[in-house]
Amino acid sequence: MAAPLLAIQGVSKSYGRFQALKDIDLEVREGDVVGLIGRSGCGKSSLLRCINALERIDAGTVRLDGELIGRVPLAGGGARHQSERELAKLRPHIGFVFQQFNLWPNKTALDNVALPQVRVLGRSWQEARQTAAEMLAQLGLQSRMESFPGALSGGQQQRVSIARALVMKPRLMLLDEPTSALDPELVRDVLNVLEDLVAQGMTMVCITHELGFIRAFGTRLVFMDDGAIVEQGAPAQLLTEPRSERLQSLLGLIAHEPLALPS
Amino acid sequence: MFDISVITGNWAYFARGIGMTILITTAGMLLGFGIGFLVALLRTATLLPLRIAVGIYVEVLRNIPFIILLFIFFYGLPFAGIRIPSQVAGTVALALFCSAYYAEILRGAMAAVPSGQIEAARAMGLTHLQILRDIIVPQMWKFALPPMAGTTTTTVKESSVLSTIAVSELTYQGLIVQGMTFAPFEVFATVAGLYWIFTAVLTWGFHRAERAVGSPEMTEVIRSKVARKYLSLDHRM
Repeated sequence: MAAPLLAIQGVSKSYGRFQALKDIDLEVREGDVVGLIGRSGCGKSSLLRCINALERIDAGTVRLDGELIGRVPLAGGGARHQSERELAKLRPHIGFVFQQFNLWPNKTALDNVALPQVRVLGRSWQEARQTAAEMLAQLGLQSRMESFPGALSGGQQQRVSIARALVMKPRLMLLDEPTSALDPELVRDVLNVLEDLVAQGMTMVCITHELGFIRAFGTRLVFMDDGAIVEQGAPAQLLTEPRSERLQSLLGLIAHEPLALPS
Repeated sequence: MFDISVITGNWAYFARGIGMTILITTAGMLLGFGIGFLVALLRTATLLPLRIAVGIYVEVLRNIPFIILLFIFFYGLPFAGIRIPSQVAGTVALALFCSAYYAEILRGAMAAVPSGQIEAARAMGLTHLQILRDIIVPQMWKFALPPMAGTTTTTVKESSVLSTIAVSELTYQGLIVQGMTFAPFEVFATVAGLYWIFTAVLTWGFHRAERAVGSPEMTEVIRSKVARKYLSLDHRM
């Protein structure tokens, strides 16, 4: 079997006395679509943010395609943390989509997608805008390119933010509740985009409570609680026969959401 | 009785005075803004000693009265072997004074840009300087301009203190005319009026600037002719 694209080993993270992540191990292979679920405060967001070193980890390692990101253990024990400058070179390989979109409101949709290409990939504005326009058109936003984020609906903003991540040609996409801030009727727009990404073979780790999406398109479901991975496995199996009591009770709480395949 | 001849007979003094006030405050504010901007940027730096150094700069300047700062500068520097004309000493002292306030305003305005936007930029691989240039600085003005208007007005008013070191600005010229005419009410009412006109123009300028940076969408709306016609924005411009 090929080496995993993302290898998380022994990752721990504390905020003061609160231990958010406890010795996490997780491997994600090329083409995997991993759904990450758990209660609020279970550490799933922290884990995602540690993968591209938006947060510093206290122990363990994160590797993308074998290359360390963030914490680098030293030969004589201890570790050093890569500088923001070093991280800036690694992060473009990982696309990150936020629950609150986090678009730049002073730039049009087009320039939100063009700016990182210009600054990070060194493209010209003309070339970057061309690529951005193609990407936005693919996501159904051809008529909103010149709009500022404030004039877009949540679903449109989230699609712009996905386009902004995709133009960097990431190896891996991390999505932190991409549909949770959206009105129900807009969720479908974003899920359609994610389904297209799956079809294109994009590797993803997605925090979501859209269990229907994970059941239909996920290759694995990971359940976290209290800073640790409690159980993981094939989504269909985990959702129908959860082993742990904690997953059973969480599924009970969100069971009012349809678990059926999307039509 | 208000003796108008005090003004008409000495208008050249007032004109020279307000001219000098405009010159020194404009120069002082521009220089002070430059220093303040630099200090605010250094306060976002990752190097701790640098942050501490500029922190001390700001706190020292904000916690001494302007007139003392001016005296240290004007009377103190010659002891260090540096002799500078009073206008220059006064302008530099004014610049240092307002730079500390501008620095704090700009630091606050930078911090007011939502952190999620900065995280998104970090996650895409933008560097600290790129984030400052593309995300933070373009968006901080809507937070910075209202308090900056206040500091700017204060700086204009504090410039009257420069009369104590014989800079021939508006207050100093007023004192001269007062000495010649013994008409303090007419003289200082005129001086007050001239200060008011200058600060009112500055405040109006800041209001215009605030509108311009309000929000990108709003700016677009205001710029469009159709919107002007139908939203009757013209009379509010």
